[in-house]
Amino acid sequence: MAEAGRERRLRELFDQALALPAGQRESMVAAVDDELLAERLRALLLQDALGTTPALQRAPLAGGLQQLRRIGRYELLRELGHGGMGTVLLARQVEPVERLVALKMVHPGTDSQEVAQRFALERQALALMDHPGIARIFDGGATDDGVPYFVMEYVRGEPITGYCDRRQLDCAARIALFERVCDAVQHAHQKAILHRDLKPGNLLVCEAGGRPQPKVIDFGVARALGGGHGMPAATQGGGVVGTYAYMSPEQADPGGQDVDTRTDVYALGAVLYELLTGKLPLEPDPAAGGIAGFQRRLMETPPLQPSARVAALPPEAVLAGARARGTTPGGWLRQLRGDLDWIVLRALEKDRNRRYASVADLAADLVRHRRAEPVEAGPPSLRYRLGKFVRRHRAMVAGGTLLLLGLVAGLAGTTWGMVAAHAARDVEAAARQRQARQLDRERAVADYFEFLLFYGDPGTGHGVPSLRDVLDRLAPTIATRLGDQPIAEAAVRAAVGRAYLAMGEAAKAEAQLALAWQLAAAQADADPGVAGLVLYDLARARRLAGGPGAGRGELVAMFDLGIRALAEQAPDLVPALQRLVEPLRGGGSPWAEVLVACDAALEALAGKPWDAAATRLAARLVSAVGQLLQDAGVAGSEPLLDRLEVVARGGLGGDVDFLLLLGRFAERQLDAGRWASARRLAAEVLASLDARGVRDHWLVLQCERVRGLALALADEPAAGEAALLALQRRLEGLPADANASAHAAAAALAELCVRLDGLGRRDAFLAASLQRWLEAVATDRAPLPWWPAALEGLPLDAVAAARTIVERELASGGGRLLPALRGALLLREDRAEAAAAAFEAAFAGASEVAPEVLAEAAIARHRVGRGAAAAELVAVLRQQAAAEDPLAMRAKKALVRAQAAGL
Amino acid sequence: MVGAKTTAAAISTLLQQKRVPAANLLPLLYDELRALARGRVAMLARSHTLRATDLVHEAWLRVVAGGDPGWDGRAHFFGAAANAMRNILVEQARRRSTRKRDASRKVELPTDLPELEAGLPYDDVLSVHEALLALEREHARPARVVELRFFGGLTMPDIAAMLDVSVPTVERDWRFARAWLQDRLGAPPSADG
Repeated sequence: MAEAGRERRLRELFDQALALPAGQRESMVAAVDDELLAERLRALLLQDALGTTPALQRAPLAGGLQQLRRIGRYELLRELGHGGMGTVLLARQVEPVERLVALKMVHPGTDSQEVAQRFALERQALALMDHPGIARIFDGGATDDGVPYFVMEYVRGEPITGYCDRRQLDCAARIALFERVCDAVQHAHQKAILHRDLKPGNLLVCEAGGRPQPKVIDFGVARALGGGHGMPAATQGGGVVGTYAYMSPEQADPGGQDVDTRTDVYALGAVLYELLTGKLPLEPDPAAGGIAGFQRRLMETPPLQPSARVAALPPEAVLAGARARGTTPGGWLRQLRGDLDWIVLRALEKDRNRRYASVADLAADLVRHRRAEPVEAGPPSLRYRLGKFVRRHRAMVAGGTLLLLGLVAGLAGTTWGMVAAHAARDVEAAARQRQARQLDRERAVADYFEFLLFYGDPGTGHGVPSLRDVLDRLAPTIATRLGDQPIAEAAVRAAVGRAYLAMGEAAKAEAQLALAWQLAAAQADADPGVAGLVLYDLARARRLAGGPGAGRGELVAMFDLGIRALAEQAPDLVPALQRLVEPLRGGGSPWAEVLVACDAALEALAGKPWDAAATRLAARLVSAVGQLLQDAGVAGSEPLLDRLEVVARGGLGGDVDFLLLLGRFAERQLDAGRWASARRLAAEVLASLDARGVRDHWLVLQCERVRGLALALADEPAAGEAALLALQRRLEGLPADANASAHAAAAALAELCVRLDGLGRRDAFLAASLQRWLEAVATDRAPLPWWPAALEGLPLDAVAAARTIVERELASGGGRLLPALRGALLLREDRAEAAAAAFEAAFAGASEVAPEVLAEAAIARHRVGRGAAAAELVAVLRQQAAAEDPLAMRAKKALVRAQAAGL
Repeated sequence: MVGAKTTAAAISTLLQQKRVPAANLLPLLYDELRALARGRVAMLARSHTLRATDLVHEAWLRVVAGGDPGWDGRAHFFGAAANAMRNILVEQARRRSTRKRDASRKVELPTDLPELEAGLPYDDVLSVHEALLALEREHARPARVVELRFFGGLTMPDIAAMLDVSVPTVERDWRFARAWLQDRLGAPPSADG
């Protein structure tokens, strides 16, 4: 085509292209039949996109190559790029065919021997290779001035990352493209050539016949393996070449360690990381010590998992990145989580011995991933991951460690599950299946919690969000994120439910655990162990939420599952367990029978080896019944509970259930007036928690409270008070809504003040404690039983302050306990008339009245001279105390209090 | 300055006529602009430079003082002034590069003009000028748009009115010319450079 005609068309096409949206221009340009014209047009559009300043202000080639318009048969058109060693120019070959080529030449004026050698090396390397994914070499020579050059295929493509983003390719398509890159690099490796500078700028994608074709270019720092082909090693001078962001640790090592094919594996891993996440494995950070700093990080800092990297992006970046991959943020994370996380990290291992041995191995794992076969990379063990996770989030996790321990404890389900597996007919197959399911569960739970904590809550400005915030925010997302994976959803819901349970959030715990049970029940045949654990916690949640009697059904169902799991492994334990569960199947108060059966079950357990999974499972079942007995305050259960404590210690090992149980036993000892053993138990739990780095969990607070009270009451008032004051200071450091149990613990300080009354050392902190507790009561988060004794010891101004709070809360609706509390406060203020009226109002709407409230109301009636009415209430209390009812213990205490008041 | 005033008056008179041959206008404008620039030398602080396009506009104000030549006159003025200014800048750039070349020989060339700020680095004035010459051969109107804008300091609507085309057309011309020139002047900073 004549030059003038081409220019005229160029102008027309330019205007046409500008009229199109930017995304459609490339296809329009691609449709231009004249390749030279298309190339010109592309160049102009690029310039247009760059805007005015950069190029008009600087003409890099103006003084150098621009004067050089022709080399041999090639007419130079423009510079395509330049690197440390040479410049690549776009050139037009006229003879024998008219075509565009890339001409690479050493920078004029560079005459280093080393550069010339490396240059020759690249030419030779290219000539050896024949692969559609590698730019071909056509020709070579030297200019009149003796500057060497060679001519290769002009790859009119764009870097693979930009190509994928612009086309909005999803992760699968990106990986497919990447696999073809691997294929090309593997070809080079087979020809014993390392690339050593793989990066998106050297991995171009062009369109051939409407299909994308990746091309590896610039073997500029390539080096022969094993010194074949008579080539000297290009970097014998020790210079660090390559591009830092994609450079492997061994390559960046100034010590000049040898490099091999695994160096290219690393670089490809980095490219894959960027393709999948849009981010580099390690972002160069100018603030972190420049190149030396980056080298150090390269050797020491492991990259985040791709999915974690994405989760850590700001929300708008996640949205944009997901859009560029044709998916949603959730979809993006789901695609990365698991296989791809592992594959990428395996390629990016610092120690090359842990990397894929070859590019082919990396590609093979990607193929396995595509076919949904197990990948070779495999997950790091959960323990390893949790360990790393805890390290990354030390502060955040401090409060949530028990929860995480709970997750690990969930793995105890494995042992339970394994027991059942032996019972299955095809033991091996079942075990394999179970193992796979267990792995799924672990993955799901661990990943979900990572997600949860990464997304924690950037918005509140508190920095570290409370675990409650995190759970509240994310619990509603479980269904959307895991709705299609019932096993994982059950596991996550169970874990979330357990976390709520630990916070005393009974209703929320129950909701999550009930949903978990619905899902787990469907798998109960295959996994009775896992389902049993869910039931166990659901029972606990129901008891907490619904009070005495609730949760018994779940407990029974749990027994049935457990018995099934034990049937083959430990048949001798089964009859005792069956006897234990039978009385619980009906309603009523079968405590006498349960006590006997429990005794028998403990006998059966005695002498069993604790390291056997079956024994541990049975111990867990029995201790669950023990807790039921303890809740119910069943008379005569004390010696049994003592024995259970021993069993629990042996059977449950150091897991969370054991610690919770011991915490409860400590409380029990305190209530029974056995200060020394209360102290010992509390200290034991505290030491165990401390060893796990748990400082702020409610169980810590509870045990410190028990220990402080026990000390104070055991003739060591100063030590006890000091312990409790320390506790109080800790509580003040917690956010106002830290958790209900913390407030309950705060209220315990009021209790202490009563008990310490004789010491005359009540302090101003009392009022603050009370206020916290009242706030908790106002939202139904604190248990009631503390308050009568607490109020007794309060200074009057604190009482008045408390009542102001209560009145205010009542005016705005308030919790169900508030009306009665108002009565109690009025009574404490010696306003008996008003108090009696307040109690009548409190009774009006209530179906069931707590024994503590009954006692207070009776005292109020008594004081205003309504003796008969007071006696009525005392009669109800007596009934409650006599019944073998969980309320009995509390009723007895309340009765004592009423009697002390003269009733 | 008397001479300059006379030149401005002469330009004004010329512009009042209906059809002004550019050949008549250009030498006058050339003188006027140079005179103006010279007149500013004393007034400029050392560190300041004079913007070429400001100079053009200043010349215009002096011409108008002799009577508004109307729209046609204005178009003629700026069309010619932009061209004149381009010549002045190129002349200045050539002089500078000669001076640099001859620096070793300690030859001091007389400078009669202050440095004019052209809106682009001085060393590039020549290459832009040469690229513009090439563009003129292939695409006359876009090249003219560049000249008016770059050296005359005219706005897009002014240029559109002057060339009797629409503003969007001028904008397309500008974008095309800019891309074309930049492409000719050199490659963009390469991705991996």
